Amino acid sequence: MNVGNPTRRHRRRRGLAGIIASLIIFGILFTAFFSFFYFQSSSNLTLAKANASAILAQQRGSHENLELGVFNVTNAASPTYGDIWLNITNVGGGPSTIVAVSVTSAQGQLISQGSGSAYLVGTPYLNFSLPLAVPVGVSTTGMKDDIAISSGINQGPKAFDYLDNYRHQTVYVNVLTAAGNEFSIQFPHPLTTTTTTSLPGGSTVTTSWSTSSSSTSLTISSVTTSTSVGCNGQTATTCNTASGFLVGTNSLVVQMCAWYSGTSCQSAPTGNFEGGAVTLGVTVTAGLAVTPSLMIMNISTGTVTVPTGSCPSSPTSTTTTGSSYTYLFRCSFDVKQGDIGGTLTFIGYAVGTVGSVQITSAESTSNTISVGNLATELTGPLSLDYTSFRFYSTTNQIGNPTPVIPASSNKFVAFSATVTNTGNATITVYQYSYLQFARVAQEMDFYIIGAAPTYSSGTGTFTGFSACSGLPTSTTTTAGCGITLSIGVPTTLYFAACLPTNAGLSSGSGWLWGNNYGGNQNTSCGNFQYPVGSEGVNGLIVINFAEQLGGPNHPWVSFSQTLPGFGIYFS
Amino acid sequence: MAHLKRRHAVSELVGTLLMISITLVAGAAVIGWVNGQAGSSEQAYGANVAANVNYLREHFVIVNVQFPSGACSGTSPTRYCTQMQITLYNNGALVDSLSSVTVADSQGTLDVNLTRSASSPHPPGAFCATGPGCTITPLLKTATMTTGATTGNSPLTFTVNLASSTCSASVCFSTGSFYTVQVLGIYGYLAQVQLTASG
Repeated sequence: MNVGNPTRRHRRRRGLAGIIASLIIFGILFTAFFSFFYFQSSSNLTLAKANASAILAQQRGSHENLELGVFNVTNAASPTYGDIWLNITNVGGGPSTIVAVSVTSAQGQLISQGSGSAYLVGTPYLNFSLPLAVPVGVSTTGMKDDIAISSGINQGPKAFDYLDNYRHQTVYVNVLTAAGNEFSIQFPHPLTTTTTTSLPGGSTVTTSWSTSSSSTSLTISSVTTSTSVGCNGQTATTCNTASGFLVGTNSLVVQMCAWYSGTSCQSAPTGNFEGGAVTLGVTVTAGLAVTPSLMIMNISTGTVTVPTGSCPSSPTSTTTTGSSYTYLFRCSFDVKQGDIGGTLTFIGYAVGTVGSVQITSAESTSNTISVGNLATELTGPLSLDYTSFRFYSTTNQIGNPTPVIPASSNKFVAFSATVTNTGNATITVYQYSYLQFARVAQEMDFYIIGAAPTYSSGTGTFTGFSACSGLPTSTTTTAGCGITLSIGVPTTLYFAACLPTNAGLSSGSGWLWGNNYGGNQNTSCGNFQYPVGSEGVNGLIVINFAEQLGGPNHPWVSFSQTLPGFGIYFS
Repeated sequence: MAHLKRRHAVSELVGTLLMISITLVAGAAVIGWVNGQAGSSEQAYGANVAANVNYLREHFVIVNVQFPSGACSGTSPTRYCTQMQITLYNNGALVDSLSSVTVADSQGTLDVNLTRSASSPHPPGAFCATGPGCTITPLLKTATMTTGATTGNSPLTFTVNLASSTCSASVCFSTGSFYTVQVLGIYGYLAQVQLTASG
């Protein structure tokens, strides 16, 4: 009985110590180790959060992108340079917050003058208070206008006096965001031509018949002619590569030339073929019993559209010079606008009898007639250098360049733009050139009609259309009031716009815009609203230069470029 | 047998008490030691984490460096400036302060070395070694850059003034010369910009 008791007691003692030791170990675990591990875990979590936040901030910053537009306007209350209107569009991948705006010179000097800082954050230097959140606006194009903010920077007492000092210099308007990015835009905006269209220069017709086919009864060989071959009775200096048909031993040489309009054997004048005529000449040297027939068989390539069969089936006229007969076929066709760069090809045949040989189908294909792009091709861009568009005037005068709100009594308002031809050819701008303005993602919504550049600045008579000769309704007179844009020479153009309540420029001029170009601009002279979009509206400007007068046939050359933030501030 | 049993019983009791006491004492010692070690580890780890977190949250950008025209004299190529303005914007997640501002030239020569600890004027740097030295306003140790873009913190401009009365290329900023500006935050973030002086 007693043998087992000590053993139980011994076990009980060791168990008690074990319990105590276990408590101690648990105490250590729950006090030191647990708290340490908990602290470590929470610290790691904090570090991970900070790391994630840093990465997120970095990503947000890298995705941030703002599109700035800036322009100056004159303030009605203080008609001096001073106000800058800033247009900010968030085209980045996330929302942005604008925290400061500044202006620096081209040399990097901070020239904006805020209260104690060159970084402007609120009134009176801005007409809005920063920070300013700008939502995302890039996912859909349609939202672009919606998310654009049009916030003006007011001319405070001293806020933007720098513009008086820097108005002829380049400055930079900078926008600082909360992400630490700074976006800048140059002012005046360095405008670049985004679209350049080649001028439809001299459309030269130097066509000759160069290939031929034969019937079984004909032996046809190429005959190289010389300048002795006549075109419409004249030396064919421009028809110098004609070939013809050699029919048996009795030569029947048919030489064919083509030239533009009525001026024989000469290059076509500069202009568009639209509505023009091509004369095809057939010269027969001998043995002709049956007058040749000429038919346009094919018109090909390019965008040129010429109705088939517009040439007569019989000669328009015949000229006899010795044994040589020249038959003329005057073919008229209508090359539509926009055919610049197209080509024409004619296929014709002659019918005749030489001896016992009946010529039934001697076809030949003409050379390609190029329409446009053969002369005076403008390949370079056209730039608008300083688009300080301002509007002037009240009634037919360029008065004090004080901005005016177009009123019902005004005939028109005028705008100016300095244009520099940076191309490689001189451009002549005629009176009916015009400007178009469009808001972003919208159709062209206004026309500003070019006016006479008979004044340069200051007060002067705005001649308008009625005082210019050669109204566009005429197809024969030369355009009046044209100005020449020499290469590299900045030229200030003035443009006029009518108000919706007035007939404006079209009044009494006899020229109906709408009749010539469609639409209803002849009575509205523009759009049914103020000439240009409201302030801060991004705009697309298109300058359409009429290169040569031709009534409805004159070619239009368009140069377009986007003016961010373009608009007029009506205060 | 009874005597033996009584002695044995006393020995067991004392032994048990001794064992418990020793266990308690040793356990307490172990607990104290472990707690101490854990505490010091926590402190060290916490400091390390805090430094990392602060470093991650510290961020600022140099938005502008300019040489005010009014502090420049002469004509190029001998036009020198005695002032540099550095504008910073705190886009980090904490209220920040600067540790140092240094300017080095294209050869790597340290021209200006303005630190937080030194009081004005600050002699280090080639441009500051002679004369009354250089100053920076506001002082790095007192200037703080607020944070919180939504509440409107603004950029802060520091002005480095060279006190040299007689300027030359060796003691003043030379327009047209290339400089590297480094701004070090108190938590280790470094912003740098390289520019050509103009003023």
